[in-house]
Amino acid sequence: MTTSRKSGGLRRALSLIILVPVLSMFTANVFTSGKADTDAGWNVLMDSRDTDAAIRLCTRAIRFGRLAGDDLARAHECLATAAMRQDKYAEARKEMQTVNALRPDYPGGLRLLGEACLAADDTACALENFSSALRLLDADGKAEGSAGLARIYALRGHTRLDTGDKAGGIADLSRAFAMAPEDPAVLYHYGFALEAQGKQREALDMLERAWAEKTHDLFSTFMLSKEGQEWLSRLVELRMALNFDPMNPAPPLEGSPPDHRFDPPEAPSFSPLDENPAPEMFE
Amino acid sequence: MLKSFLSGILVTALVGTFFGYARYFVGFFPVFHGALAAIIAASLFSGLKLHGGSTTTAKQSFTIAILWTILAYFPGQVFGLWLAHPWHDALGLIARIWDGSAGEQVMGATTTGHAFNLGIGGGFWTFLNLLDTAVLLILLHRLPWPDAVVPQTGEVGKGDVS
Repeated sequence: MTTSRKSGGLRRALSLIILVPVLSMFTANVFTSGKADTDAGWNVLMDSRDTDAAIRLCTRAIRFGRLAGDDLARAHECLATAAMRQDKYAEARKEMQTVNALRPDYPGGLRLLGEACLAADDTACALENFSSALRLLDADGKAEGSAGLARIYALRGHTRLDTGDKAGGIADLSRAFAMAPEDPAVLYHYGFALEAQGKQREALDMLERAWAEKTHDLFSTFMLSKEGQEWLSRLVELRMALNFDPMNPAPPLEGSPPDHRFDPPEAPSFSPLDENPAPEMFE
Repeated sequence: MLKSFLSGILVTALVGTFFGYARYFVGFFPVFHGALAAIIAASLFSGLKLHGGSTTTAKQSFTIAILWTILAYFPGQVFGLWLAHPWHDALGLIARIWDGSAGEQVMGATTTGHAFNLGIGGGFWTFLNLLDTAVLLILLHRLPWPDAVVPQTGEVGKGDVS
């Protein structure tokens, strides 16, 4: 027997042993449904901070999932959201442009594109997209309030303030606040309108309320997020400007809604044992 | 010799690119991944007779396997990953997996036959890659020059014994 025959046989045997499990895993992983991959990508985005896993799943959905129309737009939106989380604003914009080309009547896509523009300091692009989203949702300016709509008004209002359009910004932010006065994101942005009107103490009160709402859950990761860090730095800045302790919440303003979030749970007026007396063995 | 070495570089780079691309979407299957890559590269190399009848000693063959791996297979894998990633952020992704802030989907099988896949990063990921590379190296060293190994003095079974 020659060495070449031996090695040929060895190669064939090895190939078979390795190919079978690898190909079965390969087929199981590649020939998945694009929709299932997109769902999994969104789930990863919502539940964990591993945005790379979401990017991989949504890219796989786009390249191998045979998606079209709204499903394809959803996969691109997943990529855009992940790109935003990784501070890749140019990539997010590109993905959102694809989403908007696929679904021109989708306000959420326009809003996310606006946010990507804003993050990249392109306020003109941000204003254009927020306005387009609002035209779709509230063409006559009489739409009923919802948190989603209020947030777009808040984003446009804040952007207008940044560009020097004080009256327009205050109008948008006031409309957002009227629509969703309990929404923390709206409260945060509305604080800027109050500050622009010289009401710094009221602005701090809004921010304290928003911050308390966002961080009352012990498991919240908001404080660790980039947005959370921005809020905290503004909060500390305002507390210091108004001579409050920067490390502790400022007292609520008179007339502002009571904050029950940190109230301890009411102690029961009677012990459950009163109704269920201990058995004799414990007496 | 140089021609066959360069041909091997090309083949290994192509295989590395394919595996880097597939690895991003399919996941990493430690040991099997390296073994399959080595077998495909070796089969192409010897099947297409790219060695051109060149002979090597065992030591030379091992050195060549190391050079192919470092100069062609690894860069090929990174290039494949670059192609696969939607924004071509291959190096950023590798850095995030390395420091554990991201995970690569790693597949395996339990002793009871159940398949699993997990997102793994950091030190364990590095270990699995080293293990995979060791398998690749051993097979690349053993397989591509099967009928061209010159018998060494005192070494039985290294050459053609027909």
